[in-house]
Amino acid sequence: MGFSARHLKPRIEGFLLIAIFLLAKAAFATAENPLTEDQIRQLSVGPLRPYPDEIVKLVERHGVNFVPTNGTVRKLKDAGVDQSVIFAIWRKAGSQLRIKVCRFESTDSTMATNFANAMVHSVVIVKGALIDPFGRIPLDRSVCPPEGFSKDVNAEPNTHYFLLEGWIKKSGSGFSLDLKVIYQDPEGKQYPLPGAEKPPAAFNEQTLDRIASEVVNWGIQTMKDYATRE
Amino acid sequence: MGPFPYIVVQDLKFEDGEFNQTNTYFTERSFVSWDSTNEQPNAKNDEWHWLAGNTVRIRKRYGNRRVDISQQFDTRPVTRSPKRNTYEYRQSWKSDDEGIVHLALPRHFSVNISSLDGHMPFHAKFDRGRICLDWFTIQGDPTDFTFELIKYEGYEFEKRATEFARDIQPRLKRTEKEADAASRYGISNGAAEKTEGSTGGLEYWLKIVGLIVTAVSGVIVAIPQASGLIGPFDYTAEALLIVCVLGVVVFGLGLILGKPWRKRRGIIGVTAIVVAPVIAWWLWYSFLQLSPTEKERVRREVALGDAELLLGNPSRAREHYGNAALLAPRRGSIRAKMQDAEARMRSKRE
Repeated sequence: MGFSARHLKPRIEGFLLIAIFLLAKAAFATAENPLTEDQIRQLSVGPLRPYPDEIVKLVERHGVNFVPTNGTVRKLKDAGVDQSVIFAIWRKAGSQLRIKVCRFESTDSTMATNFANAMVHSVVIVKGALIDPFGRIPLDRSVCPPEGFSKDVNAEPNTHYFLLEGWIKKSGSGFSLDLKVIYQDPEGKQYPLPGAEKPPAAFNEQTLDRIASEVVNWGIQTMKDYATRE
Repeated sequence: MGPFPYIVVQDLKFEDGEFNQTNTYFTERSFVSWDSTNEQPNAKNDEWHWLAGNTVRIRKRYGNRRVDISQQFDTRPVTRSPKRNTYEYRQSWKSDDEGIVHLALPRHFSVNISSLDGHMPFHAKFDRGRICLDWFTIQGDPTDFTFELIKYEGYEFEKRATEFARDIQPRLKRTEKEADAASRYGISNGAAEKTEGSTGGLEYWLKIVGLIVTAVSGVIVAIPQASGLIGPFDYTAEALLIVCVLGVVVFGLGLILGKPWRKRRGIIGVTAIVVAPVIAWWLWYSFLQLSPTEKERVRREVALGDAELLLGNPSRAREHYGNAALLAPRRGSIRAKMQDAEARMRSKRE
């Protein structure tokens, strides 16, 4: 008696098929549409009014398709959404948020690459941005193309991105900066955010690392301002 | 006409100067029609016993039971009176039960109305050339009395018989006893106003209808999914249980109103009426009622189903409704929601 490779092969194929089936099922199971503000409002005043814990579970399972800024949260509360649901939305939204550094556009590609590397280095030191009430938002170490995502760099599903974009221009002995933060929703639509005050405007080769760090901090401040806006 | 438990038909004949009376007894309940009719006996499949020169008819079946003659014998109840053309008729019957006595006199013989005083019939008619008299056999009333017959010849008889039928009408016996008997037998005013359908054994129909209603509603309630199929109503099973109880009550009334009084099952009827609601309450408490925990689970599952429909996930909604239906299979609204979710699933696939 004993197993030969010939006997084993059909079994392996069977296991592989089962594994593929389970993976496919898991993939479909996670592909839930994130909840909209309107749906949460309808659930809260409708069938699940007595069961906010069930709405919390739905939020945790589906995620949300909006950033719960102070203004959004106030509207939800006014509509009768339970506080436990608000906490769940903040928690879930925090896990769906990403801050991503884009390579700045510049005629000097070497400088653009150096500046991006400096920003990523700063990101590594910061280890994530603490944005109340979402908690610590992970900073993505990989640098994406200037316009955000491309065919080679795909956005994760059901994720909200804050893209740190900018332009570097040669200016006298140094370089001038033009910065902006773009919010990209889970459907891929992009919305520019109003920038925070006092953006870093110029740097030279000596101040590159410090200014790159300031740019990251400015980006985080812009996101904080957005999160707390009414 | 009406149903009677005890029927005596007396067919008096006068042949060759001799009186002879055929007495026919029916001691099982049957339907009697003493009204004048243009119908004639039909040899094939006739549903009536035609008696006393076809002046009275008795149905051959009552319910599912065949009605046969219980006893038949001849008597000679008439003696000649010293007066010319008058005769003394001695009426008598065996009184085993309350019922009706129908007497058909021979042709050319009428009755001296005043001789009937104290023993007036409740009904009289001139039919097929014969004068007929009907008495209720009410317990306590005399069963043996006499009255005078008068013989008329030729056309004189027709005239006298018509006068008799007219003159006796206001004198027919319609005391409280007759009214009570008529009411119990399902006829009114001692006469023939009512049709067979409306008077045919009310208590019998109460029993039949009660049993059918009880059985049908009881079966539907007993099958968990059956009551849910009736419509999107949550309390169909409870409503059917009430209908079931009402069926038992109607059946009980049928037993209480049973005729004759000896055949009544009053105690069983009252017991059924009293016990049925108690058993129904126990069934509801033990089987139909959901515990508070189950109720809460059903509510939650239905709410989750509604929520999933709102989020556009009919398959998940169907799952939650299915969970609720397992806990409360008799709730029609849940079944309706399941069907709605299934319809949405189908349209989503298409």
